[in-house]
Amino acid sequence: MGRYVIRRLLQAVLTLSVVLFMLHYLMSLAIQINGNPVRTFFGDKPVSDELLQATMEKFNLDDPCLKSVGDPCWGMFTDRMQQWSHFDFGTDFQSVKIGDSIANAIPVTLTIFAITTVVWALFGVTAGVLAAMNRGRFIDYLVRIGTTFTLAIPGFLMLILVQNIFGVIIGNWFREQFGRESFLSLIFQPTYSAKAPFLSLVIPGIALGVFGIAGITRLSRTSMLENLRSDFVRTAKAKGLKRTRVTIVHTLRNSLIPVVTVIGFALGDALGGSVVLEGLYNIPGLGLLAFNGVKTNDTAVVIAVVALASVVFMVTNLIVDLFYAVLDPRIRYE
Amino acid sequence: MRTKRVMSAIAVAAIAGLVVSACGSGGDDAGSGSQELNLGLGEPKNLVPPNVGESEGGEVTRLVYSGLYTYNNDGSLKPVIAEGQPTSTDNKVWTIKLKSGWTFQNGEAIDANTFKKAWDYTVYGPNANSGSYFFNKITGFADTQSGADPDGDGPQKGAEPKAKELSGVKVVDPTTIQITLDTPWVVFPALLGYTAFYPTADACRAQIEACNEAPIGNGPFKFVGKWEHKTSIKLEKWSDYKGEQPSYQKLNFTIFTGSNNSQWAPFEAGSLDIAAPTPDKYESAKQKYGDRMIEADSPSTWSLGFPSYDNIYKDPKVRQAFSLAVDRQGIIDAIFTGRGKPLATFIPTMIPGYTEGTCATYCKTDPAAAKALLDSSTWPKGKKVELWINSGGTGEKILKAIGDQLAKNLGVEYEMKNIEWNDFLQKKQDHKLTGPFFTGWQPDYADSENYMGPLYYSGAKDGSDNDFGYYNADFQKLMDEGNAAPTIAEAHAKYTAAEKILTETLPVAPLYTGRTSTVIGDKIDFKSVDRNPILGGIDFVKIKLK
Repeated sequence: MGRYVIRRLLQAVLTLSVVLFMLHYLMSLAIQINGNPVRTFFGDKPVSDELLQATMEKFNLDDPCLKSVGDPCWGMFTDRMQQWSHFDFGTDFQSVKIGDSIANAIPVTLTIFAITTVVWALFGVTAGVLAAMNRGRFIDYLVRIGTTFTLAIPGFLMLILVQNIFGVIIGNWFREQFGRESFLSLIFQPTYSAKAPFLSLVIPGIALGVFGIAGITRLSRTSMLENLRSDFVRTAKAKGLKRTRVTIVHTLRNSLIPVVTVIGFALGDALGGSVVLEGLYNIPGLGLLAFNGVKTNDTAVVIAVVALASVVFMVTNLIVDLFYAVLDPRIRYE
Repeated sequence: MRTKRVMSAIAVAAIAGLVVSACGSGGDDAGSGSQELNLGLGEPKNLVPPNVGESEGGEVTRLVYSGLYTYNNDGSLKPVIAEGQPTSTDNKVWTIKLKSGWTFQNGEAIDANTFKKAWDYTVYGPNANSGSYFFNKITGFADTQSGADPDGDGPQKGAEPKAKELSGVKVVDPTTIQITLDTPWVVFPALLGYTAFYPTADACRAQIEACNEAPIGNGPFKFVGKWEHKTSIKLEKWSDYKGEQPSYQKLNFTIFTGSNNSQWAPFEAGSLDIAAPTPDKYESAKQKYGDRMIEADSPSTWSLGFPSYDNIYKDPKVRQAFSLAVDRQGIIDAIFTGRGKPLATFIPTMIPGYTEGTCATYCKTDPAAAKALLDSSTWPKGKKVELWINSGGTGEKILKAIGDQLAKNLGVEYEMKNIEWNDFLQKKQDHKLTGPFFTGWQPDYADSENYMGPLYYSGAKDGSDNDFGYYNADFQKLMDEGNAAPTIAEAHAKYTAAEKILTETLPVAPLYTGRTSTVIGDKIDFKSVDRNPILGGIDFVKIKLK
């Protein structure tokens, strides 16, 4: 397994370099075509050339390569990589250290992801298993219609409804009944609260989980159905094993392979953050960080966040592949 | 084989652990009750006064710092650290007396020297402070700016400035500052209440980055901990403050970085004490909170700019025809559900120097006259109007509405040119826009001069040094006379005459001023809410909590 892991890691390094350079190139191209973002600091106000030049120097955006369209700006790229090798990710347009911004945003985004995953694992997989075990009966139809519903309703609309119904209407009722600092009042809030970082993320996390749940549920259902018909399950049943043992150990474990893959991929996505959710709930996570970076053409922020997301994506993919071996005795990496 | 699988499971768990271990964060103590005010705020760009250029940073710095003056609701100066109004015999050399005994929150004393050092730092070119242009009429300003780039194209740094100090600012004695201007200017004192003129402590300038994170102020509030970027700013009353003290202890800003509209839901849930309803919630908010809603006209003006440098738009008749073809009220009704005010002047009502109806002739809707004017102008028949706008804002909708009105009232075809904001600003400055464009102005100081001088006054005869390429010798002369006038009243008379010229030659067609609606939560004593129409903000020091 060791050699396999090393080979994968080397591939990852190569992929990462390509990703980093492409990002750098695209962001530079955006500046070359759309003009220097420093100009927007002054808005509609007239600004003297001297002040504009001094401000560009301050934010390291005075390289002449940013004026010729298509120039790959190698100098800026190597400078940035050198900085990175000392774990210095530079500062954003607010003069904040990007390393700090990311360190603050990761726990928040991971908390949401954790809540979402729990929702998927508890409700998604369970619903899928139940539907498969009761194929063609009421519960199966209920699960299938339910998942279609979560896919059909536009996410943004649903989030606004959740915010207003759970955060404002129900939340206000709890606040009147039990006081502002009570447990339920802190959970049912319309936006993220720094006073209750975990509790205020529960509802948005669940809401996000409900959206992705259709895929997990359908996948577990199909996968279960397939395995229920397989030879080894029949053998297990013929051996007279208990029904729960057959279901959980023999069928479910094998059915989880595709599910784990999907959750692994979702973690990579989650690290990019849900821009819509974080924007609406004012959650200071990675999604909003990257989104605002793109909006203001803040290259340093965008590259740092996307680099992080790619690293996590590749590591989770590796972990997912290794998990296959745990779940399926036939898979081995030698 | 069995053990092998267990081992790999452990390995997997270990790697997963590395990724997830960054989890967990500390909670704050839950603040209690009525002694704190909770507000929402966009993420400020900067909190060092000379570098504050936008309203978010301004809102915080005005609480943490105090300047020589602040503004009364009519725009006049209200002394804070200064003793009395600035005095001058010739409007060129201004003398300001200071009160003694004021200090920064770190104990550093504030005297005339503090201001001189702070202002020298502000203007020094390489410091790239966005507020430095406020000082450009003071003697010696040009010498403090970086020279042009040697080859005009980077990457070499610009030449070192000739001077490190602003020679027009003199410390006469510890309580007297003397400011000398290049030329007499009676309006100058109106600038002195702006954040760019606020003092900064030696300890602050020595570590400017740290001072941005945890400001060393001299105002009614002080920082609790640091600026939690994109999350919150916590302030508490500074009890050694010599000026007007707040009646409550804590002021918390929650920072909103998502859409600007995300503050309304937390207001309804009681986490914020003041908020503006989103446009779609405006009607229901008015019904529900009617008597606690403050509606006020904003001092920002919005206009349709014309490229006077372009041959087609050089003819004032074309500009007049376009202005007469626009239905201002129609736009306000359609896009802002009636919340706005058509502009028939270049100066909004609350600004000193405002005169009613200066643009009555051309700032109205008169399709027949518009068509006649266009036909008698040099307008090339069949020419498509190109309307320029930055993409992604309300401006797009407004410009589209204007395009439709031009098409209907003048029979011209139009084409929208949507480009990115930075591209738009740069093209505007470089005179590359080939048609009318949407433009806004937020005043820097409360005087009619600020709505004209910085925008349309040109030293160059072809108008190449303003965005509109506008030049008018009579306008220039009247502005000069206004600047040199011995009293404010005489200056305003000249400025109004200058404005009359603008209303006939129309470098821009004034469109409208916006209207803000703010709802005050029931935790606040509504009678204590004092909104300054010029700064556009509520005085948080005066607010009383129930």
